[in-house]
Amino acid sequence: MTDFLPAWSEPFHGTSLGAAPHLDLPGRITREWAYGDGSGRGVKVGVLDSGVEDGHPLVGRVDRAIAVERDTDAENGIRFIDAPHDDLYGHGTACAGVIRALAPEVEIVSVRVLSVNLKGSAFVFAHGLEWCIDNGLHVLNLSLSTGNEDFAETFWELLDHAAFKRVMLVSAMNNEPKRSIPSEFAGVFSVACAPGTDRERLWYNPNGPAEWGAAGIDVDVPWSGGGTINASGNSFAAPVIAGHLARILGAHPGIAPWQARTILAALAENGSALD
Amino acid sequence: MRRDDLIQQLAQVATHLPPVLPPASSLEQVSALCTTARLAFGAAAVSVAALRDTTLHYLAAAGEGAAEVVGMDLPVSRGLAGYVAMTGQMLAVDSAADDPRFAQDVAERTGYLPTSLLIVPVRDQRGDVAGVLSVLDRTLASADALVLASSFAAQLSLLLPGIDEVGRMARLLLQAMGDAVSAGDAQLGTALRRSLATLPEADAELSRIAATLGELRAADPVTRARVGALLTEIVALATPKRRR
Repeated sequence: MTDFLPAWSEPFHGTSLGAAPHLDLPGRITREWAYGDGSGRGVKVGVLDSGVEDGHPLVGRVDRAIAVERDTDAENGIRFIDAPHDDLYGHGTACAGVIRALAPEVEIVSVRVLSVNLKGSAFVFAHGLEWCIDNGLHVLNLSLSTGNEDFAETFWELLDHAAFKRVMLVSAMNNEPKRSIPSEFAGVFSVACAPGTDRERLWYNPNGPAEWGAAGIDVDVPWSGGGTINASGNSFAAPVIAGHLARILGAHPGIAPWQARTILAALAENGSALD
Repeated sequence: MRRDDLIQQLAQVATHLPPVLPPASSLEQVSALCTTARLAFGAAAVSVAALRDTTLHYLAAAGEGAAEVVGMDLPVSRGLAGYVAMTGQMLAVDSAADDPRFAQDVAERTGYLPTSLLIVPVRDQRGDVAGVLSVLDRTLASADALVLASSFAAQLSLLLPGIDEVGRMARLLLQAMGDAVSAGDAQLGTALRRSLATLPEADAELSRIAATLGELRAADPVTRARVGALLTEIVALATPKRRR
């Protein structure tokens, strides 16, 4: 016997490993078992977007708001403003409203990384995502992506970081047929539009890169100013999947992304769950 | 004259020439397309805007408010057309006034407030949004209108990128020359690329004025001469120091 342990082997030698995430499958998965009471209670959902309108009738309370901005004076070029903020456009409010409708008791955290014209830098986006992963959020809705290849590796690293922190990243595919980082990476729950407007329905596409399908065409969503709009886009399909994940996590706290995938796939229209 | 100076002068000419020589045929085609589209949709108005960074620049329009719309610059953060430009998603709205994204003040400036709007993105060959086509108060049935709008957008996909390419003519020219000669004459290639690196952006305001003046092509020679004389006066007034 040798005392030498190859790198990364330590967790399996000693008592630090802890229990594997607990998930007793009930045989065939049922909706009732998967969702529990369906409230999403105890689940913190981050909405990385243009901000979220606090108090919007269809969104309710925003539990925390963080604005991520470039700061050339800061050591790492970024600053986080932890204070109530507005939605600069309406897009983030729309996403938050879809999540709230599906999982009414989630805590919503608005992480503002987009500007008034829905533009933002990959640098700010990556820092916003890192903040969410490091601050105990459970589900992140990313109805945005970047085509900036220079940041591909950064997002890969963040995705791996999120996976081992058991943070579920839900990422809308771009509406245009072009590079969509991190949406096209297998480490996220990537989403595009499926038929219809019923948000209880979802589809699983094992062939990717759009792994999940949900309602996002001609859907009514909340918007800035307390009202609603009718809109289409993958941006509004992603929060449907985020909402379903929040329900699942509310019923099964602490599970890993791969376990959540198993449940979500069973609940899909082309899945095997029982009503 | 030194070769570097000559190249620099060539670069300056190539930078300042395109704005005063707007791509008449392309703009006229876009304008004609608006007129055709208006008839086909049975619409009150049709307009086409090109996306330039975060601004929609209205190139052409037909019907209600057309004269006011052409030449207008709007940030993409305002209005339904901006929404389509930002998201790349086509949009059909039956009651514009009830939609919080609708920029009512902008519509009022054109003198025409639409009830319904159909807006489709125009994409370039890479799939990026190059502009938008807006149809105001169409009478054509919805399903047919969507097919028709997509067809017009496909035509515009061929036209819009070309219009902006002219504005970048100097860059393309120097890049092509630099690449072409670098194999045989590395020094000349380097000089061309150095010019390319220091090239200023074409003047957007000058481009807009030039595009407006381009409309004089339709005028008769006497009118052109009168406008020419008037312009000389205006330029003299605008640049008093140079006249002294």
